[in-house]
Amino acid sequence: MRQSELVTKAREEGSKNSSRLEIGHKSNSLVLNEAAARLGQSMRETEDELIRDMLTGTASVINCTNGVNGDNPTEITRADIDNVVATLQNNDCDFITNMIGGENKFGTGPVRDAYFGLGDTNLIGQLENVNGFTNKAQYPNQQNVLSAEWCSIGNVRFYLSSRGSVTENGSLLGNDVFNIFIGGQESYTKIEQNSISAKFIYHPAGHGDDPAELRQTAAWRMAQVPRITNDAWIISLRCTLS
Amino acid sequence: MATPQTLIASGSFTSDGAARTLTFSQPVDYFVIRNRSIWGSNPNSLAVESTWYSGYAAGQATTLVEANTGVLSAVAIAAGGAGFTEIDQRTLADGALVATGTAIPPATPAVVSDANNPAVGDIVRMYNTTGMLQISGIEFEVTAITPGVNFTLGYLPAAAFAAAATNADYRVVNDYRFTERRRWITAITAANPAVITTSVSHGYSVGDKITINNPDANFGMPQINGLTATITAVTASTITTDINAAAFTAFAYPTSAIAAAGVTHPQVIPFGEVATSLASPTDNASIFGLRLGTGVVGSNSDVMDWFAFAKEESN
Repeated sequence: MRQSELVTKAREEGSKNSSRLEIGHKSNSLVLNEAAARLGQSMRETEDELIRDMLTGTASVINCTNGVNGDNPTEITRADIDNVVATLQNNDCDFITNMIGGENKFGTGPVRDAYFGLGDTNLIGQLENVNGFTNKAQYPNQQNVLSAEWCSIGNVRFYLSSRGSVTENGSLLGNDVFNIFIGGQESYTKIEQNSISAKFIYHPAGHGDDPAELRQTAAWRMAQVPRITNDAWIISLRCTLS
Repeated sequence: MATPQTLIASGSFTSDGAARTLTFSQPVDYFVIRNRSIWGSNPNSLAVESTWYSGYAAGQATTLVEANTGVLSAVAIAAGGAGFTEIDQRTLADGALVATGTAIPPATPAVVSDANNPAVGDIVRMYNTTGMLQISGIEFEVTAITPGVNFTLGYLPAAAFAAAATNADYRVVNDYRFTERRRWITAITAANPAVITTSVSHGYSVGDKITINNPDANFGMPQINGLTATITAVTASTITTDINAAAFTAFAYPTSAIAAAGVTHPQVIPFGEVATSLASPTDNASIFGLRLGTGVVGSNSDVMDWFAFAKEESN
């Protein structure tokens, strides 16, 4: 198969916060293979960052106020998480993952129906101190568990990224504020513009105005808009570090 | 090998003496601005030409200053000075200006005593506001400045606050990338119709649909929490809604002590557009730009000519 026949297939996997690009190619060019892999990662990370930025700027806010660090917002606590869950339940927001029933395995326990919580990896230590913390390794089974998932607490399963949303100097005392987006089914979406789906582009040397066959092009293109579909179904829970 | 530069934009404006921001369609690599009004007029040691190159630190510039003898001299404005600051909102990194104000008296509008003025239109995130913790962590728009003395948070009614802030740290921040955005509420009238004031210009349009999120009873008017509304009139910072709040309890900021114990500030959440037919949510409002500080923007009524260049792409 010629290089120009390289195709990509983007597939969203699991919930909307995590995605992976599959490269279905038969190129014998190591450089092109590497470029395609990197571009695929770049495209999906860009997509996730645009969604993150939209949620940062638009989602309604509840501050953590039950911690003891003396800041506003405080560090995250179980009461703050339960407050958000109650608010979403009162707004008739559906959970995004089903319960994982208990199984006869040492060290595991059932996981409740849950909303998703998207946060920054700097929250790892904070979450582990919250009452009810269950690491994903303690789930009865690992079906439908994403690599980005860290834990469940109450009725929220947390997915963490090094590119989570952080508001610099956003607290009362000037500390960084971490925005955790907690939501349920159909709370946000992305809308492709003018039917321009995400697309990988490859042009071999000699394509277009390149008579000396000096230039190859590998790129991606997408035109889409992230958008909250129901503002009552997603909340930015803001916290600081303890 | 030298990389050729292409003129990507040029223009003129009449300076008001205050810092301002120019926006471009792409990143700029070289920028020059000339003061037409004083060019060749033997001004008293004023900058007649200022230049900026990609890679300069925030606030830096190189200028040509003309003395009243007509002699030109090269003068550098050091990093952190009143020169140029690049704005590239491909990332959401906040602005470099972090400074400490010394006081905010309890008055309406709130005026922050500060020698490191942000520009009119800048959004500042206040924190460590000793004695006025109600506003800590919240973004406000700068609506006026007195250079070297103070700046005004025009949409903050602080007259009802019990005491002045004796310290007020702040940081100039970028606005959120997409319109329309969530905005913090600083006032709601208990009237029919309810009129909401936001801490920065909201950018909403008549016909837009909003939700009022006021989950914290410490701000009063709990009846309005979760209500949706259609906007019937707007000014830059106010929204007239179709909510009848005449029977609601009053909206009021909590005391500084209550704020210190932890509160959630009320917000306006935009969720639908009628007038704009969903056009505005597709608007990625990020910009490339240069902030022109008071050392390069000219004096009041000076006519300024500017030219922006970018490197041509190399292959």
